[in-house]
Amino acid sequence: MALLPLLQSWSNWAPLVFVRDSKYGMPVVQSFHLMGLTILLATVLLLDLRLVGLGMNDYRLSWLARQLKPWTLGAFTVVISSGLLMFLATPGKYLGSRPFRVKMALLCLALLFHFGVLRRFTATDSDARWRRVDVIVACFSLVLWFGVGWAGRAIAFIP
Amino acid sequence: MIPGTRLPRFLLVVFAALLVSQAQAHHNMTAVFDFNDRVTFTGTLTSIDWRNPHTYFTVEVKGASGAMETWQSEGPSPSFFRIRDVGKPDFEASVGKTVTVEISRARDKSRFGLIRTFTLANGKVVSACPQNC
Amino acid sequence: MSLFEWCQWLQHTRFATAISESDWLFPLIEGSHILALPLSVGMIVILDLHLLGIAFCDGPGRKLVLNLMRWCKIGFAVMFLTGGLLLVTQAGKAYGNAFFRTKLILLLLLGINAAAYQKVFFPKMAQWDSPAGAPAGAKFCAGFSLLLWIGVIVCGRTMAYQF
Repeated sequence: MALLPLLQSWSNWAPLVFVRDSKYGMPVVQSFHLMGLTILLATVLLLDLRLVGLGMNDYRLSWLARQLKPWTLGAFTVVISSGLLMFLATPGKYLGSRPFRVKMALLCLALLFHFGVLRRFTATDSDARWRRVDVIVACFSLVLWFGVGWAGRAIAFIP
Repeated sequence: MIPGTRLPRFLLVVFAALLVSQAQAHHNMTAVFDFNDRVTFTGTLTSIDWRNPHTYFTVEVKGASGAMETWQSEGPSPSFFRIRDVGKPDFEASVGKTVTVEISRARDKSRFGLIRTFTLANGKVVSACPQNC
Repeated sequence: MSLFEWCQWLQHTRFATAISESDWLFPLIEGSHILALPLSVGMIVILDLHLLGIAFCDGPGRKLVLNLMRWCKIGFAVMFLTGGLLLVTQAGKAYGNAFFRTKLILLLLLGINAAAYQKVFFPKMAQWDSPAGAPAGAKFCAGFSLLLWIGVIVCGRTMAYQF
């Protein structure tokens, strides 16, 4: 596949050399990845909990969605940047990892679902709680996003 | 990132590509191991440390001068081996017998490295590639 | 028996060995530890950001605390349970690990900080209806919490590279 040689041709870029070859490069980048996912998933959790009426019930759903959005986007930027650095530092390792490929597939689905479907459900308020469609949407959202997280963890344990 | 524009279609294409992608292995440097410094040694497997997140194996090797050398190697997790159809009993059966290990040597040039392939006493070869190569 | 010897003993008990040698149990425990971060630290960070006037600036903070704490407690319960199990499997190794020791000290300081906030500032939260009205002490607790949680995450990740 022509993709791998192309990615490897970038491997001498200074930040990538730092990530790959220095003692603390990897832990530093991974720490940013963890801090980013902590905030990203927290915002998703709060939104989904409110959608089904299980949490943050003192707040209007549309207000919560608006307040959380910049933090979701900002945290996502941190996660994707740190992830990209780790990926580009050793692309062969990640492309050859089944869990990594599953993670990327789930990430695409999660993004599509979050900005395509969930957005519509959190844009308006209603007093109805525990509507079946809200529960399904919230579950889908959580399964996709936490699925990305679990697939990421699996990279270290499964070939 | 505006839904309804080209972005969702792009994501769908990436998603589909990832489902069918094949990738070749390649080794890259990390801070501890030099993936270009490959060493292969054959000797007696004396101990195994079968634990998460990494397994460890000690092999007694007869050095060039005739003296015995102790080589340590780090392997992937038990679950990694499980997917490769190898378990702790397979390694335990090789204790006290001859094994061959190919490692990426530690950068400090000590008798320690990251396992690339491990040949058990019964001849079975277990590979830790491409993740550890 | 010294503490170090006790840690080594603990690491080699049948219970600890069963977890550390497992195919899927260890990855499950470790994965849960990391993925409970949003449910625990994530919620606290949101609260800290509110008190510092950086996020969720509309509305009284007391409401936010009560809404978040319900879920936060579950998150921290998972963190302590999984953290304890992980520690048991590598107690002897973790004993001498500088990053792990720092992580424990930071967690202790965070506990004291949280208790101080609970006792001193939480009862007064009804008195201020926006972060701008929050006393300096409350803001200090929030900033302290934010910084130290970052430290905990960094130490937690880096300790693995020191074994």
